[in-house]
Amino acid sequence: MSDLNSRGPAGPGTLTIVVGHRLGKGQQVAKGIEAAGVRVVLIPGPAGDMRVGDVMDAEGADLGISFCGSGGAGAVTAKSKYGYEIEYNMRSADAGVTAVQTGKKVLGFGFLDTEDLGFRVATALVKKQGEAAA
Amino acid sequence: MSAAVDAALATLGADMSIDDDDRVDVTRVVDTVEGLMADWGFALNDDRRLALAAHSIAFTRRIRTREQLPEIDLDDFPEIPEETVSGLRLALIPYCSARDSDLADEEVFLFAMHVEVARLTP
Repeated sequence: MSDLNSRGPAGPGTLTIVVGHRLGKGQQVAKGIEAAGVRVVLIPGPAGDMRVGDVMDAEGADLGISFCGSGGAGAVTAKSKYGYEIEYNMRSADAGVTAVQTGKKVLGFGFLDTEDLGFRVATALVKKQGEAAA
Repeated sequence: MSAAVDAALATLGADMSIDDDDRVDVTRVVDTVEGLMADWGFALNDDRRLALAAHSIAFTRRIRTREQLPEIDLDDFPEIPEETVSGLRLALIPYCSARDSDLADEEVFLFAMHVEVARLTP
């Protein structure tokens, strides 16, 4: 996976989020995830959304985020191949936070790319992980 | 090709609440796109067909409800062969026209990306 852009903390116990965007974007989301202290793997180039499941599996990721018209193509492919629980057709950070809180592992959004979304989803994941460990 | 689309729709059914209208419309769209790809000498594998079917469900529902994609800068799309774009446009216009709907360039380009990914990953 040498073409992947992996940023943020590393090591055992580090949470990892994979991001894939149909148009090769996702850089702002990745910034937000990193700001929350979570490792992010941004799939470079177009059609990254369709690789989210594969990269999650390879990286042992805790969460995947897929961006396209509805995010559905990437999310359902990930579920079909790897059995991840998914939520898609989301259009806001709030919806993403709720999906994380309810245990979804792959999130599908429309064509968004904001730091706020990345930060809030990553923060929700950290909180959920903390609750699970307690 | 429809049997393969049926299998993809069966996989998607639980998550995407597919009804009979979806089934008919998506089968038509996916068969249309796969037919073009066959003319061009390549095919979808099961994963790519699943992704295309999921995308087609969203597309056919947008056509039905007249929902439009958010504005996307077409310059953001990667370079896609003109033959792919024009072929898909010609193939999908009848589907949209029959539903009194226009076919936005963005919709064509999104399908084209599915086609190009399939071409590169047999």
